[in-house]
Amino acid sequence: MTDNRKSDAALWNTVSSTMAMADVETDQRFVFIFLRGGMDGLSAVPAYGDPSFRAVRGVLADEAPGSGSPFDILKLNDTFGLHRDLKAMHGLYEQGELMVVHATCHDYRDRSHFDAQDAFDRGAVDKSIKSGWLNRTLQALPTRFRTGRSDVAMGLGPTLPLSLRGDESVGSWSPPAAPKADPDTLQRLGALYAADARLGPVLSKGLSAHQLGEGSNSMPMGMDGMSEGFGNAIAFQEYAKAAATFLSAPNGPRIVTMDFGNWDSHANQNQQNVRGPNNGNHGGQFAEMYLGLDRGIAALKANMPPEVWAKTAVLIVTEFGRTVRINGTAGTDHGTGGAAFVLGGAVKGGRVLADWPGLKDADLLDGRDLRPTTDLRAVAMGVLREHLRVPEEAFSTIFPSSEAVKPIEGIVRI
Amino acid sequence: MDQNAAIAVNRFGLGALPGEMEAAAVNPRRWVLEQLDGRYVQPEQFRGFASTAQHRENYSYRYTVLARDLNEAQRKAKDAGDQNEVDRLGHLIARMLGGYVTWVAENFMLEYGARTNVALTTDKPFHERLVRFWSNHLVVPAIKQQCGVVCGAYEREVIRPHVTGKFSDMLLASAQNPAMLVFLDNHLSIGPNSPYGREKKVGLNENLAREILELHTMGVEGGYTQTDVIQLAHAITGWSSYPAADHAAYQRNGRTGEPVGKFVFHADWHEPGEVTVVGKTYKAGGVEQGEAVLYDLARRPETARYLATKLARHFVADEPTPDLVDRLANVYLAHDTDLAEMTRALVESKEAWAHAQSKLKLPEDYAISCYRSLGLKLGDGSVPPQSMYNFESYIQKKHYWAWLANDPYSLLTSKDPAQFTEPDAKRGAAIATFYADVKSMGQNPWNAPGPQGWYDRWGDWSGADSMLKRVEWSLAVAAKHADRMSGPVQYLNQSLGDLASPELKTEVARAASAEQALALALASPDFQRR
Repeated sequence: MTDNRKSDAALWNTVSSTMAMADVETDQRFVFIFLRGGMDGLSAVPAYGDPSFRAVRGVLADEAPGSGSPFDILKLNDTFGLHRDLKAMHGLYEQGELMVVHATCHDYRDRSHFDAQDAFDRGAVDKSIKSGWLNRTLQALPTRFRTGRSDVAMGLGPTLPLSLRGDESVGSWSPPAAPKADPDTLQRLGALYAADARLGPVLSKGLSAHQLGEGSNSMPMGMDGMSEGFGNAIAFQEYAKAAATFLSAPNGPRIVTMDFGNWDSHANQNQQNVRGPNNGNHGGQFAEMYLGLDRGIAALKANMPPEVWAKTAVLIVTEFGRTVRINGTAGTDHGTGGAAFVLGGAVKGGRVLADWPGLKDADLLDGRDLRPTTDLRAVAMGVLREHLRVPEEAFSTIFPSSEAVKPIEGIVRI
Repeated sequence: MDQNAAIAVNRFGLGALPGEMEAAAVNPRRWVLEQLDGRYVQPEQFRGFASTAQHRENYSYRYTVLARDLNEAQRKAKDAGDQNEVDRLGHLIARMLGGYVTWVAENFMLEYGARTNVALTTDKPFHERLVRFWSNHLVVPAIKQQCGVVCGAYEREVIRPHVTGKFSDMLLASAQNPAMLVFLDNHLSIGPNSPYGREKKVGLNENLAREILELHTMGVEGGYTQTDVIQLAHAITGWSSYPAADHAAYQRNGRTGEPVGKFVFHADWHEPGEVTVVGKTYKAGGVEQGEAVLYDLARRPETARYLATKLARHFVADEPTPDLVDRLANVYLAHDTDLAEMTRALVESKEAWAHAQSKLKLPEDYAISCYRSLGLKLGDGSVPPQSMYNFESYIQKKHYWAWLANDPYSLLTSKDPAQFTEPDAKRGAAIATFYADVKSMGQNPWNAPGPQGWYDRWGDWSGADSMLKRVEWSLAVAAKHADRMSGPVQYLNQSLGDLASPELKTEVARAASAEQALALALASPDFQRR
């Protein structure tokens, strides 16, 4: 879809690349959301205007916007739409606070979930790198970010994602489970942990995050053992509320990460997204995925004061897109190019960034995948540079082997 | 006391039961190795649970046959304008499926409780560690709805019988188990050029084939290609469990004695022609074609190195030395994929007994070691017999029983509601609480995030919040169970032995109360490591 490309490219070029970087407000918020499992970009952001769309997507092709069926795609422009269950995100698009990126991927190409996730989390395919790209980003942040807070970045979830691991100290948080411990015992325990070089710093960090998070609601348990996808979707909304609380606190973190797993849709993908009388809470493990994402994003905005939302940019990625054609089981297999989102009050949205490669057989990567035409790292770099004021020379450390990748300009409102 | 005794019960075991440290101290290495000997007997706790085949049959029967018939009846009632009948059938559908979903969750917890109690009481904790290790390697987690019900059955059928047998047998058992076939979608993978594939225009699903190469055998760096993935997928087309594509036949034939949900090879789904996987060509054929490929993949040197690295990483060090990995891989290859031999070589290595306390326990193992040190288990009493059939008791019975009584496919052995006992609610709560506690530490049991299983390095488990949750939990355990401790110093000796640091010994000795002493011991860094 060359139309899109031109209009968006024109927009990018109007943004001056010589902004004054030094004297701007640096109290911005950044949220990084990783949709793990490989979200199907052509399902989340259907290219309904592409002439090949219906043919390649078969039973997975939803109805074009305005056709009046319950399965109508939500219109973005004449080519792209959003999945019908992403209603709040569609609202953000219409308010100019959500930008869609399509046909995007980072530089990993081998279709393994785990390697692909690790590669993006590390910021490099190279496995000898042990730290995460966000952890290395912390080293490049302006000092004003760090002053007065124990942790400038925090991982929300029971375990710390690889993107945040590394030399820089970061926090983590999940909802409190047990009653508060006796202070005397904690103090004695502190002495024991102080003697342990590896576990000592870890525990003291856990304790300080715990104090900051007080007042956040405890989380309803997912439906364990039967539908963790549904549990994930509920948990994501609760984490999104907690993220809003943390980011709104005056001395709270300014960068938070959230994981939302279970997007791997190899079979009966349509059923996963359909809610009919018999597909409510037992229509497959993904029945609630889009709703969970959409409500989580709505909760993030709703639980922030407007002035904090205005300083917030959220980057939502997945490790890869899925095959363009459906497989033998009405699902899609591991692919390459897919969709990503940048949203928030600080984002200049209402646009689709896509150098659209097309869906005809000859257009596809290896005859099967959506060809990636926008490097996802360029999107991340663009957000880091304009929103978090990360100097460009830091990108060779944050994303090694990215010499050829240039930050995309004009993503945020300056 | 010998530090090796403490290493034996902590690094190789699940943490010492009262008295176990003394038993291991006689000869720590022999104490570990003896657990590899003898024929494996399924623990008593697993009696009464259903097989994967029974679960699959139950699932497909409810979701396809019954649901379809009821939906069809409802549609007819709607066409006839009989709103009362539409409503009645609607309630019936909701109860049947809702009742099933409730029962699945209940069954999951009972299975989890049985498995956990085996770990909490076993006198072969090393064997149980191996079960958990291999179960995590060829994992079927409950993250997919249909898999939650079969986690326990899969582990009993595929993992437990083979942890001291041949990996090739375990691999094949896994790839032909309905639980794995459903988890990674192969049960619906159809050769595009097979008779059925050509007729119905349906096709391949490469998911299981990819994960067999990437995660089960050669590893992601094993050197296979996308073509190998597709070729392996062709070789295992038609490996399925229940006749999903032929519900009519299922309904017509009903049950023929054996559960319909067991492994089945659909010859007319199988992609015709030879396949070439990692350089070796296999002639056209039936189920034996894929079996031959899997046996060869199990015997490949890349597989040997991949498995040896994971095993050594789990028991010895996050980054095991290449020398140790080579030795284990060579033993594995020299003994035709024999896991007992590879495991023995690991235990006999000097590396396994060096660098004590260098691994961080995973949350579930940590919680189990705390409970074992106090001789605790989850609730009392046995699992309700034939738990598979208990689910009917969770359904509001009035309409449902009347209808079931006329159901020719009913799986019930008896149709009298009074025959079915509800599981003990108190016991269920003990299991569910332990489960939720472990989950809060970052490891949701039997719910590994995907087919890669749980990661196994220090950094994967040492998040600040996860560590705080461990500490908070152990303090709560101490508050409840301090009376189970004979004396703080003796307790420390029999749980951590010579691995307790001088600082911990001092703090425990000068604790203000028995409760505080236990809290400090359980929450201590020494207890987190192994």
